[in-house]
Amino acid sequence: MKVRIASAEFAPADEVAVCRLHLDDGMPAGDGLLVPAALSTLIAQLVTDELRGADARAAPAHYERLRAATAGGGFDAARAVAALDCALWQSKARSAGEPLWRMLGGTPDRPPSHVALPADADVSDSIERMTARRFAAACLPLGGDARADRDKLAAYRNALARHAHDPVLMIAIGNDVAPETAISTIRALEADFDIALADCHGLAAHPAGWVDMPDDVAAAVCGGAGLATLAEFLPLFRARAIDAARVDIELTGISGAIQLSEAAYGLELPILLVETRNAVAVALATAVPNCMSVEIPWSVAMRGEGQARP
Amino acid sequence: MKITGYRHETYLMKMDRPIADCNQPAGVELLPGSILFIETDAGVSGIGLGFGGEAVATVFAAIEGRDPRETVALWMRMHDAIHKGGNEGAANAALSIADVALWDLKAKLADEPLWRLLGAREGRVKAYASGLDYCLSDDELFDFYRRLAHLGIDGGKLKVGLDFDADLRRVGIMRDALSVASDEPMLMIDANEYWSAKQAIRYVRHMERHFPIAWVEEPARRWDYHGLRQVSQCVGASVSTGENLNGIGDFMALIENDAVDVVSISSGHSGITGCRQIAHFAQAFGRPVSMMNCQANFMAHAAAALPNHSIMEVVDPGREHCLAFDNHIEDGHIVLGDVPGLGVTVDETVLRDLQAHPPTGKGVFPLSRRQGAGLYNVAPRPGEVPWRTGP
Repeated sequence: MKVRIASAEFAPADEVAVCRLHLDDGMPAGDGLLVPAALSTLIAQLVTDELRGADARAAPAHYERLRAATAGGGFDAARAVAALDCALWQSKARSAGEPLWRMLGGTPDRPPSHVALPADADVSDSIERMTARRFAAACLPLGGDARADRDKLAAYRNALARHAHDPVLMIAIGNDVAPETAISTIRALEADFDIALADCHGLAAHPAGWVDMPDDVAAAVCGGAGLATLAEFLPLFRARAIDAARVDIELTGISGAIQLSEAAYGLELPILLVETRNAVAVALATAVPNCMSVEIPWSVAMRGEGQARP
Repeated sequence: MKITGYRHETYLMKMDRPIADCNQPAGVELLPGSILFIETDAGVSGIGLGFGGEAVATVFAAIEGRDPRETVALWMRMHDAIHKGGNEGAANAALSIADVALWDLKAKLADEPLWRLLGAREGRVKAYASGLDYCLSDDELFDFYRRLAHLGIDGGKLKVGLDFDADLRRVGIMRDALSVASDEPMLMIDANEYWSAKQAIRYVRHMERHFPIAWVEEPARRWDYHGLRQVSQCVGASVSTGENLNGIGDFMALIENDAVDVVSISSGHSGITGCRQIAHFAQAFGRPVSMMNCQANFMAHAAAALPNHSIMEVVDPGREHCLAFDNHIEDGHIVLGDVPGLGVTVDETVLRDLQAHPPTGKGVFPLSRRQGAGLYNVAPRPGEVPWRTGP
């Protein structure tokens, strides 16, 4: 069977592009992730330098090679590698004639999911759209105005409760919030709300400052925003600074997400998988042992994407 | 596609030579074999090798009727099925062998060797020789390591623990035997939990005055993360351990507390799925893993696909009586072929003959623990091992 990688194609759309691999026998290969169009050059270079002629079925091995080739490349490199890794896995699944979820060892069952609410949307409108899609869980980004946040949380909680027996309420805390402020904010909210998880975006950059937070709040402290690799997560693991790991497939790819998930599993930490536009997270969620929820970004949820089986 | 049934065959085999460690120096010649066939309505069956007894029925009930290609999800179902009492030992062995059979099945259905299905770039794994050799004479010891050195293997692991002077001599024999493959062969020693941490530190420090020891395996009890970390910090050699644990949960204390430098993994760690979990956990903490030995070296398929796999143990005592397999050793590596799945087939005629006429011999695996372990040293008695004849 010929499954050698021949080239990458980009289908530009506005400011993003779909990375698509071509195989040498002309069979349809896999689409990667949407990436900023500016990354097209880097991705094409990686295909030329690292992947051309290689067997697309060795996706995890290629992931290691791509990570090594882009070491120190930062956020852009992570996104480029993740896009290619997803394209490789899609190619691997297609060459086997299987859907991605089955290739990964998962099931067609829907995993638990929640919607990431928009920060600046009209609450009534977003509640209407959220409930129309029958979400039972939602994550609200806090805006800094305690009263407004409290009112929004109450509104979303009541909306979720209309059709969910046990609605799940989560909050996201921006990366400009200091740990002490985050703790006091969460504790104040916990007096009135049952917060399942607090996704602290500032935690990843400075885990030492957040190390006591899991002991200070009842909500599961989640961290990992902006992180791509095991090495980047290690300080969080070492410090036991999180109760759950946020795994963003657009940064980790599928191979990295599997690694992170299983490493977190070794510490009995669940993961929160962030969905992509082509529903990779839903495909992966049942193929890892510890996915607590798939986060559906608002834009993805409103397109009706991220919830269909890939 | 559905899982429709299973067939679990057990048998006893006599190896080509005895195997031993310092806990049972005289060694054993007999090894129980266990083969699990998981059958599907597609007419394809998967083969698992390992152990696993009556608990196979329990784990099978959790996967019957499911799609066999949902390997990780099926692992979760089996794992959850044995959640409560009796979840270790035989139950974990049953989970392990079933998981191996499911991965073999998934790869066969994809018409790919398992190493490729798992995403390895090539079906090739670096190997080291491991004699399980406490019961071998000095000449037999040399012959074993020299035979594998002629296949390019340039690392060896010696069973040690009860007699420092003899161990020192035999490490030298192992090194000399391996020298045809390398001027600086990789030397490892394995005490199989006979020592306390402090005994280990004294012993290894002494040994390191004579030989560069790459790793000391199981220098203290498997769960003693404090003691194992002490050893790791106090000797030059790395500490390798983990082979007698059940799965990833058992590794938490060891890895998180820096008690292991080289993580031993095997199919007994809840199968190929479990091995991958442990490897990724170890990788997060910057630790390599090493695959333990197995019949027909079938776990090389999993090792080939792990990003942090270092080197796999090869014992080669002759235990493939009813098995044919598609791999061989060349240039110091296990080279895996392209036969779909694990590349293992079972000769049913030989299997039936083994079941009908169980062999006899000295001792049955597994090896027991020796008196004095962790407390005081009980040296080999004269005649207990071929290399100890006098008082």
